[in-house]
Amino acid sequence: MLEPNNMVKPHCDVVSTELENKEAVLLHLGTKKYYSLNETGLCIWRMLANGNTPGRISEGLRDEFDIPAVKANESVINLLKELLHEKLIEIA
Amino acid sequence: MIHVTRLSIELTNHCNLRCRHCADERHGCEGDLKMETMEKVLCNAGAYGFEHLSFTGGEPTMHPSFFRILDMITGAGYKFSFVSNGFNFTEIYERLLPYRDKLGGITFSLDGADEETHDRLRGKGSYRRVMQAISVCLVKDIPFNFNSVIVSFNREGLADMAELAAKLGSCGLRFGHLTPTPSSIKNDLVLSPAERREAEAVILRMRETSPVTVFMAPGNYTSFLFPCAPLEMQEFNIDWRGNVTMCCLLSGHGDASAKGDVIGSLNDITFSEAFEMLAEANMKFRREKEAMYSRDRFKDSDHFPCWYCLNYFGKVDWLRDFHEDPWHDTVWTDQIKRRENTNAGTQ
Repeated sequence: MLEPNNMVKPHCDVVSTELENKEAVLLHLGTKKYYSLNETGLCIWRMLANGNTPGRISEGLRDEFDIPAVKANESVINLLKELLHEKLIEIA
Repeated sequence: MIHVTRLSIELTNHCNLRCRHCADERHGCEGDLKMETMEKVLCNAGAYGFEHLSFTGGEPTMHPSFFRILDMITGAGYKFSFVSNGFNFTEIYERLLPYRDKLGGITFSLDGADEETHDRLRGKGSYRRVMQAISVCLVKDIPFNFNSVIVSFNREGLADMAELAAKLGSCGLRFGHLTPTPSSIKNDLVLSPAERREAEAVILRMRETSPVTVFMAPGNYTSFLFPCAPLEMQEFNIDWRGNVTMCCLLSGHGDASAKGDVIGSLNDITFSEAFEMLAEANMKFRREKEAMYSRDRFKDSDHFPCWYCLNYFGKVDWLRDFHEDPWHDTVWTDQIKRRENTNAGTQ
């Protein structure tokens, strides 16, 4: 279960590649599956890679895209759950 | 007129990696192909039917005018492809996108089915860079394939490499034998003749079942005397110095005295002169190889065509000092060379 204060980090088997159009590709070296991140996803990915908690990432997303806190929180939690499910991130 | 299909150009011998198997003397970071040479090639190659240019190196993308060259060749109507270790791809791919329609594909070097194996040969971090490169290719719809050199510590993982290539969406996987150099032998990377054939048998079996196209680069054991594009006069090679050479694999291999594969320099002769000289040298080579074979003077190891060429051009004479190496006894002696040259001359 992911809590707002959990520290999450990219899974050690994941290679991330940022593209020129503010998107990114994640490749899991274990499963060899590719995943794409849109601009919002990339923003979240960068912040989690920098060691931020889900709570801090939500705040950062709110500031970056000028969106309501509830919406930012929902976006972050939904993506982190998905990333966790695909083993693209791990709880530190 | 002979129509050669492939024009292979070594753009530079600079490289951003220091792989353990690579010939130090070959990729000594000495220089880049001159733009005048490139212009000379482009002015003349079309008349010989060339439509496609393949760039090698070194790391070809490290040529200081790489994108200017792409401008020139695509402007002149050529298609192109290149090999790369992928290390700097995330930094350069954006500039490559405008040429996407003319880009036949990129061949990335991948020498292991896992990070540890690949990095053991090519250096820490290099595997992840290749993975980043192919991630970009996948999203940007750039066709790519892999080139793998078979060495002592990855030969058990050839099937895993094919599985990896398939899962990653590669168009194909080409295996090639490692050409022995003093450093590759000292690093215990080189397969013996028997080990080579074992690896070839594995690859042959894989070709039947692999979900990705798997093939061997020329150089495998064969009864065909002329099994590769250069020997079939289907490839025209230019090294970074502007020399036209018999084969890209031979370029820069061996010591300074072993330059028999160099046809001439495009800095001194015209493209058409070089072309004629290459055709002549090719005919001479074919004549001599046929003569040697018909006299039943082939050693078993001479059925490895690249090994035959290395011997023919005196590029593995240094191996005589490596008495314990399994290839040591397969190096031609001076006596054999003199005798064969004399025999061929009296045909």
